[in-house]
Amino acid sequence: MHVQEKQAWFILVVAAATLTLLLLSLSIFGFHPAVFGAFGLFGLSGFAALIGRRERKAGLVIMDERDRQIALYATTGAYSVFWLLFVTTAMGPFCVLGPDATVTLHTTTIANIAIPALLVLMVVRSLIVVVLYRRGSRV
Amino acid sequence: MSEKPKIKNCIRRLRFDHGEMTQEELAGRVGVTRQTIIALESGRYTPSLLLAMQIARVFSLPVEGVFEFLADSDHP
Repeated sequence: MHVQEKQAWFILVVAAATLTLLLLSLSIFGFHPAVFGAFGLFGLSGFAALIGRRERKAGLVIMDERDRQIALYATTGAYSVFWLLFVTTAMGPFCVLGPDATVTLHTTTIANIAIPALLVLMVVRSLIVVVLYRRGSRV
Repeated sequence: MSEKPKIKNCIRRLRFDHGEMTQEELAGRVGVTRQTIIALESGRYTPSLLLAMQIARVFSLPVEGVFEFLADSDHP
């Protein structure tokens, strides 16, 4: 399995663990803002960067033209999904509540929007990477 | 709708004809990963022109000796 594919699987596993922890917390504690601290588990996805260190130190090729092509497709696809969600989130309240409405938000709301957005971006990218490595990436 | 033109290759046969060269050895000689060679041989990846020429050079053949262009039947 290629380094990039291993990194993608790692991120998917961490994301699954994060969502599992979140759902468990919600079922136990209900809809409390502190429950969304479960998203902190997704910080472990940063360790994906350590995958491939051994190959890099050994001087092996980590990214060739095929890997760069897959990375490009995956990033483009993930950005497209993220953009749709971003616009929906930004314009949704405006369209539903109108331009003169005022909403009082909990201080954790911004984090509870930003972190899931990042999670969606990285999960979609990782899914595309895995699919393209399995299926092939014909231009 | 016509299908995209495909490119066939005989890299696997050429490897065996050239002293049973391994995928890893070929990958090292052209600067790609072994997984890319595997994808090439199974037809799941179409190489760039540069990579195709590098592979052809390893086997001392022209590019057409390694890769075959299968044109779509709708095109004359």
